[in-house]
Amino acid sequence: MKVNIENISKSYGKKQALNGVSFEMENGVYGLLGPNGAGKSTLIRILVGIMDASGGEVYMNGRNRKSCAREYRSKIGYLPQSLDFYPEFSGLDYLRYVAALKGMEGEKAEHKIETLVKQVHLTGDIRRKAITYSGGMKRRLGIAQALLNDPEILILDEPTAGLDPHERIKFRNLVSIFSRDRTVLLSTHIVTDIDSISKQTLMIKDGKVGRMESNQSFVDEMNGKVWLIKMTVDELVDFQNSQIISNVLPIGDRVEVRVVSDEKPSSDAVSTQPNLEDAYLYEFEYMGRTFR
Amino acid sequence: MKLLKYEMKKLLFNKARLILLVLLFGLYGFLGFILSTDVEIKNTPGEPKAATIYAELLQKNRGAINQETLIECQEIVKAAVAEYGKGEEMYRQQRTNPTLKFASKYVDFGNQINLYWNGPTEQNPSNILGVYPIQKKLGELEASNRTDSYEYKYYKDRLELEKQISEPVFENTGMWSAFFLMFDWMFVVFLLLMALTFFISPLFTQEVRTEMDSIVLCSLKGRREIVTAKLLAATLTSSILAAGYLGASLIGMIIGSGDFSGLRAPARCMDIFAQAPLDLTVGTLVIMSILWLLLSTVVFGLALAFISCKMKNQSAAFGIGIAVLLAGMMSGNIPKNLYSILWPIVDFHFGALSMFNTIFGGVKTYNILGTPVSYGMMAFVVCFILGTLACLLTYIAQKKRSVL
Repeated sequence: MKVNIENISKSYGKKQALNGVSFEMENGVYGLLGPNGAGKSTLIRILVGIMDASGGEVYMNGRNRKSCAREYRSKIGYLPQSLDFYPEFSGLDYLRYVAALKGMEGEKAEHKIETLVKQVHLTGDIRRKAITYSGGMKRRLGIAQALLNDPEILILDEPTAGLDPHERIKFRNLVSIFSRDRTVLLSTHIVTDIDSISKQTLMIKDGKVGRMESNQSFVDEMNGKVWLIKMTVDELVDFQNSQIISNVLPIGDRVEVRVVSDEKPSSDAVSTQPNLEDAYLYEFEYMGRTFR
Repeated sequence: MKLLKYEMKKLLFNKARLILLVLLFGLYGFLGFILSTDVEIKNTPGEPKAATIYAELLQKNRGAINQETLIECQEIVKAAVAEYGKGEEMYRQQRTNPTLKFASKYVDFGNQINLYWNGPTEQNPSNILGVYPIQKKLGELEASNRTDSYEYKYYKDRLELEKQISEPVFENTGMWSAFFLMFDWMFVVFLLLMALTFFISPLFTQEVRTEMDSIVLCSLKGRREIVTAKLLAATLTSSILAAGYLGASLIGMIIGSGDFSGLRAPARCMDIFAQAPLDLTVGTLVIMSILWLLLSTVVFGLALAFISCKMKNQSAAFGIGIAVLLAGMMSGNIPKNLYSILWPIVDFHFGALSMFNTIFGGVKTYNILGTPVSYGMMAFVVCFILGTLACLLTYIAQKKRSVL
């Protein structure tokens, strides 16, 4: 499965939400990283076909999506950013309803539902009204519905919001296994969600897409730009106003501060191994400040 | 079918909605009961066999008009009016005095006969009624060589129909009079359509509220099949509501009156259909009215489905639905000079379309390309067009729908 997004733009009146976004996806997990309001959800809505773009096209295996809209919809699995449930439906009713919407019937649908319910650990609660579920359970039910039709293109908008660390890890593993022969686009602002599983990450800010590279490339480019400095809490108050700080670790009566900067921020700063979170901060905070 | 099953569960077959439905049916039953007992005669300590005497009088005087009986009845009524007036006391006497009640009914019947031959005292010049005035009008048209005009064609057909139906006969129409009276009350129709608006308004808006819209719209069956399922659900819900409404009202009437007589009597025996251009029995008219109410309610349900599809929340969909309903119902009060422009709304708003007494009892006709078309036939065509249009527009709206 190959999905091409070509020159997508979207405007709401005078506000340009997306501006000439282009990229390509094949099998594997793609991370879509960006701060709130960057245009991630708009891009995803256009991609799943529930919002019209002001310009640009989406292609599936070289075919314009508009010419094969029904086929495209049959291959999509989507988890929106926020999702609520019908008050009358149990979790099982809900999954059966979505299965019917996806054209799945009979034994096949029942078997798939049973498998997914086990995978998202809702077996004991699946006959309860879905609106009584906790936030995490609702999210897991949402993930199950997205996977019902074994989608070739799985699009997840903030899928881990509300999940506890254990559920988050389980979810990551589920997506990782699932993505072996499928395309997964995972939008988030939580870097650890995609750190270990995404093949490539796309950074988006103010409706514009930055680079799309492997996580390792992003991290490699950060070599020599991440620093550790020990200081007192009082010193930190002044320091944090002028620097991009990715972490603060208390050590005795002092703190060890992790700083993202092109230049050595102080004489006692020590260079350290970067990670994707540093790259994210560098891209959105540091570069943003530099541009300003 | 699966989608329909779940749409029905969302719309109607859930605990909260079913409880509401039972309460509504209880109310409808109560209304039916009240109305049927209201027109029934009551046994009193002074006249413990009032109901039996009244039933015997009705039975004895069935058939063509008897002028002697009519004169006697007119005298009884005249004396009663002189004694009790025309207000509350007269009404009370009519409910307890079988002779007076019968006499009043027979006098009304006499008026019906007069109406059949001579038409109303004040004729509408564009729609003359009564056998003699129609014959006179036809004579005038013939004399002025207008035998190929629309008017001539219309009055000729009308005269033939009147002759075919023939003079009304006196019959006891039991609780059926109350049945038709109940549905001649705009409030009763409004109650049904308002409940329907409440039930159907979340049809599409709940997808927006729960944000299921996104999932529905990107699903294989989320653009076309879901609309079919939702429209079918709206149709079924409307039918269930209308059927329950009629059923509950009839049960209330059976409890209140239980008099099934008159099903084979001509429909014109009832005051309300005295001028109806129908050659039908009361029984056939009851069945036709039930079918009509089902049809018109379904059409309104489909229109509500379209409104729901275009709205973002249930309150807005409900509000617009009620506004459409009320605007139509209130359009009857517009000045006459505006009627020539707004007649389609005045004559065919959803409230009017649901009132089967007007549909079957109406004397209004329309000149469609030189052919006289009855109000009932026009209403059927309007229902068909509105229903089809609502379905088509809903399909188009869902096809173009997007999430913001």
